[in-house]
Amino acid sequence: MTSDEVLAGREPAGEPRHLHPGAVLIEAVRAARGAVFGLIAVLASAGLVVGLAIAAVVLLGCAVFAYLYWRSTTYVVRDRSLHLRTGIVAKREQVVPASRISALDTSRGILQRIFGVVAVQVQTAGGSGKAELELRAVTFAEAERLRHELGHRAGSAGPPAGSAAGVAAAVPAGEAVGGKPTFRAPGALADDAPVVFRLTPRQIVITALTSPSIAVVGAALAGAGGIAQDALSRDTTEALADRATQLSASAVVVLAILFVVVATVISVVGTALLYGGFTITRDDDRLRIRRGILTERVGTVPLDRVHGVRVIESPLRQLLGFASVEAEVAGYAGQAEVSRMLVPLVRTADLPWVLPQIVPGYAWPDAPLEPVPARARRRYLTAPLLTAAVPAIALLLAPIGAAKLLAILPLSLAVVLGLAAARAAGWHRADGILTLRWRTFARRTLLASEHRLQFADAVTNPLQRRASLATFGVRLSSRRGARVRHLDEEVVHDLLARTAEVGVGG
Amino acid sequence: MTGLPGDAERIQLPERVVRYWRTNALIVWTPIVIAAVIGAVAAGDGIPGIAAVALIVVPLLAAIIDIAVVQPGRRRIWWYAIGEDQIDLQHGWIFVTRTVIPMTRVQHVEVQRGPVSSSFRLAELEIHTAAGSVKIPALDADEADRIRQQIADLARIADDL
Repeated sequence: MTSDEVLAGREPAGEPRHLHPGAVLIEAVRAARGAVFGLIAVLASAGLVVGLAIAAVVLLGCAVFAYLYWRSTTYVVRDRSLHLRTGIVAKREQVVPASRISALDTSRGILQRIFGVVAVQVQTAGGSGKAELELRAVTFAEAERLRHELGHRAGSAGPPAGSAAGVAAAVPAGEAVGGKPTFRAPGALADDAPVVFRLTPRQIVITALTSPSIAVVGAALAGAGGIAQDALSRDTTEALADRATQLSASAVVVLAILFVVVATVISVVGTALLYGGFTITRDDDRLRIRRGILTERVGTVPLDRVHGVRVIESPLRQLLGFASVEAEVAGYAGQAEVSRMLVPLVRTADLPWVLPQIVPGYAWPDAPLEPVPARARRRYLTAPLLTAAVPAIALLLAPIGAAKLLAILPLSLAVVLGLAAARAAGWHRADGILTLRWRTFARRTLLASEHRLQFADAVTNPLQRRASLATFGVRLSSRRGARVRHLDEEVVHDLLARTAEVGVGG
Repeated sequence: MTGLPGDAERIQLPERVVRYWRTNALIVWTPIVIAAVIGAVAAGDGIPGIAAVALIVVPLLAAIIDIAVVQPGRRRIWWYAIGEDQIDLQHGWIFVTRTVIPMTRVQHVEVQRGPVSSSFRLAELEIHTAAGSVKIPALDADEADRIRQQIADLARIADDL
């Protein structure tokens, strides 16, 4: 199919195709996965023979369902739209015009690898995080063919999105580029594009160690312990409890260390599975983010839909000199992971040159930001101190003398946090990027494309009004925003006035 | 220093908005006060006299304050201004919020009328952006339509009825 044929609309209609036959097994496994817990419960309660028989029946049912699913699912590209027909009993046809497709993401789990296929998730402009529709198993060549058939246009500076057939009038003028798919012809595989970021194995370990996931794993382990306790018979539990109380202090310490080590290893392994091989390639106007070891996911982020970049430095990571980066992507309200997490871990010192390589135009500010006025600093202490007052007063009222001394802890922590928040807060405007920085716990910096701001506001309370201060906030099309508190009210007024300045044609 | 539309001219909500809100408040409070009175009478000797009096007086007082004081106050704290490049509006009493929306970011504008607001010739204006919407709670109905058209023209978007 030559480009001329496509342009003339004379592309061969094509026959509806089925998914790759491997989809049968993949779907069967998916269905079985859902039934696993129920099956285990049945096995445990009804005994081995009965349980196995029931399991066999259920699995057979899953297989039959999967076969029927495969037979009833067809897709075809027709009239520059992707038509997907599904439904075993109630037929359903989904149509997505090519102009509405913003990305075709792929993912490969173990099963998909066995058959040499990928799952294709169709992302639409203005859609919510979940993919609009999904083709569970197609060959890699077929995925590329789909990309070609759905993305081919008359050159990159083609007709504006508004002229494409079937584009809903809901595409707002301010987001003219939102409906334009950005694909490449087949042959130019993603791997040819330059790599702009890669996560090293060492960084994966650091990511795991510095992320809160360790606590989650620890909690999960504790929870699993609880479940195990329920599963064991009462006698066993009592016997274990007796043994436990007889343990010496050193044994307890060893067990605690073991617990922490196990939780850490699980956390690291989990992070490695999730982010192993994390690579970002940039293809002129698209970012392709590949990650995952067992399940390889490839997500695409059209650069023109990136309206802002958020850099997050948790206290631990900031101490070690690391940060993570998220992209504020338009239209992805409750986003899919791949598209939003841009960089799981990066050295903060590397940001000045790494960031513009990934998202051109966004510069990590090297000069200090405009700080909050001096008279505002003490206001950052109010909220933390009020929160700390509760435990502090409780400790002071405690009968034990030692507890009263402990009351100093929450108060000093509050002061430290408050002062850190005051120091972190700031703003800056340069080259069409508005930079806002603040700290609640982690230090967060939002780099927002100035002419992509959806709206801005200034909020004041009576105390702020008396001191001529105001809190400045912005909201982006990702529906997330940022707030910097206690700025000078004239500065805020000026920032508000300037939100419309660069809005023309944006 | 660049100016905002609200620095030049601020438009307040029409005066009859107060009557509309008072009517709404009355509709809400009446069943509450009646229920309180019935409750106090039905309890009879079950509760001390003071409690019965309080049960009647407190909701009644709250209703009176709401209708007499709060609703007019609500009108005073609202203003809006529509400039060529921005929509500027402010509301709030303790926490005052001034919101600025660049005209080019407006996706569409909706005018909503309810049964009660229509009888006062009032309507609610909702301005939609990609990040959510901002509402002006009660405007003269014709004014609301006019503003909707004005914003639609300024934002160069299709008029959707």
